[in-house]
Amino acid sequence: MDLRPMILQTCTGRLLSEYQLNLLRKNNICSLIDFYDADEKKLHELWAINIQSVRELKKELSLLPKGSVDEGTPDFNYDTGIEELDKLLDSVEQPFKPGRVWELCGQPGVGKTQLLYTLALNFVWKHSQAVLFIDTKREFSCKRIQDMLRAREVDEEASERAMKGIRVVQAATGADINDLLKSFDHQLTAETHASMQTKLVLIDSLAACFAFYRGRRMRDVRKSVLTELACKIRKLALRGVAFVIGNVSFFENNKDSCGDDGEQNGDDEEVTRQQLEPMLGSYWSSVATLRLSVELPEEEDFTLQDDGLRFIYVISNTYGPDGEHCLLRITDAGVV
Amino acid sequence: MGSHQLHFAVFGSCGFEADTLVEISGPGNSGKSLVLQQLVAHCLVPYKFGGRQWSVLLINLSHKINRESLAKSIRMELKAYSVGEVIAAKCPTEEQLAEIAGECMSRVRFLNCFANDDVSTSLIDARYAIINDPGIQLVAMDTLSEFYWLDEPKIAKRMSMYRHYRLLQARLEKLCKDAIVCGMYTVESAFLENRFGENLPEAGIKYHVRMQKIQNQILLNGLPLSFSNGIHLDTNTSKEITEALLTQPS
Repeated sequence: MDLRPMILQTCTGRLLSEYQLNLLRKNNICSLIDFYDADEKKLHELWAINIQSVRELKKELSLLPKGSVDEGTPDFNYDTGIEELDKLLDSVEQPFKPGRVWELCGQPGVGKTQLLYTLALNFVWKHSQAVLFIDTKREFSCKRIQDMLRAREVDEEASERAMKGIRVVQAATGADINDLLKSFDHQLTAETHASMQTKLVLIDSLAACFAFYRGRRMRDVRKSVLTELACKIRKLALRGVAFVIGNVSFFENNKDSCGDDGEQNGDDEEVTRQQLEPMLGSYWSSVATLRLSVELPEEEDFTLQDDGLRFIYVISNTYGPDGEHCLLRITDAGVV
Repeated sequence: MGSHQLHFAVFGSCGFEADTLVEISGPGNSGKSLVLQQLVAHCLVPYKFGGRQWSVLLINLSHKINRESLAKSIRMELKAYSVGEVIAAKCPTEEQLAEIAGECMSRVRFLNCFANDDVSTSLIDARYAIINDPGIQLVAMDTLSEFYWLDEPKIAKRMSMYRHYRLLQARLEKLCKDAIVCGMYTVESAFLENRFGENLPEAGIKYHVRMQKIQNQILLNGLPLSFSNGIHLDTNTSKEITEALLTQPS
């Protein structure tokens, strides 16, 4: 929040003239922390007011409910529209609701995108709210959404309405995603109607943005971008926006030496399910409050015809138990 | 009574005094934030439920603690104490517990941070808040290590993890000393390593809570923890097993 409107929210600040307020910017006092750090005597001289008024103003500013204050995430439950998944979420004490930050992990090609498509379609269908689908791989398939709608035998008008509710944006890099979320936050602040209607953000897939960050310097940049992204996600989550973020997992023999870049090491045949490691490193692993892993049934031979069955394992849960799982199936109508 | 065991395990039978600094450290995903949350919940509950009935400021960087999760922890604290009631008729109903938890939550102020400037602002806001409300007895910060990598492109020369941690710790410590309140914070253990031998003033940390995660078993100062139905010492894990975990090479 800008300093000027914050000052104007205080009793003391409302007594200041336009000229006095403009003097702040001219003296490079542009943010709240600049104002706090400014010498009280300097402000006293600058504004030609007594020091006690300056102190009172600082006190009043400190007590303002700022934008970063907990706005109170709405307390009601959505459902994912996938019965077995909803049962799983209830059992691990994390029903799908506003402000959730979840991660969906799995090997390439296992079906994460299918699940994200289904979550998006079910959300706009059931809740009449918009979804922001951030496509980092430039592979979003309108045809697949249409096929899902056709398989559900919905009428043309309902189909068109559902399609309009899924807003797809391409983002090639982590910085692009950060800019996109920053813009989204600004629009929420400005109470833009389209943004106010958007309650779910899906990212497919975050790992794709960081596949080429190699070397010490680039890894540091990656950490910085991920930290910034985490801050933006959390800020939006506090405003009631839910996130489901796709990530790629690889098998790793030795958990202690799992590379931050998620490079696959070792012999796949020797590992167990528990050693399937998501990409993006240890910092990112603590950002999502629930991490779900999409996996093929263990007995299934990958070379055989895919029957669409997938296990969903809870591999990390900040607020409840982990280790639970359910069985889903990818069908023409989506994941059920 | 499990949550009281946690409190005693950290602070001893007498509990902690005013003007105390508590450090909760450990690797990622070792339960630091959840332990902090549970200790905060203990401080929030009323005297008659074995708590301290304090007001609390939570400077929130990681956002793992939120109103929903903290309210749940408070209810668990209340229930844990209620279980010990001798006469069943004295046990509060669910509605009464919810009402009490709501009253406890009204004494928490979240100072949410999403940038390094927000942390600086929040520390100043905390000072004014304490002046304005003498009932505030605890300033909690989760977590000191969260924003180390933020603003990377803008920083010409990055300070060490240890220095970053110590500078933020010093600011929190100064706030707590000036205001005569307790301070409690979490930090990732990697930040505690003084790899470059930097000479920085010593901090007056009175209580060190060391979290470890060994073979999916989480330990608090060497004691096994259970995270089912709140956080409490895991009495089902024998002493021998715990010692075996600690002596194994990590």
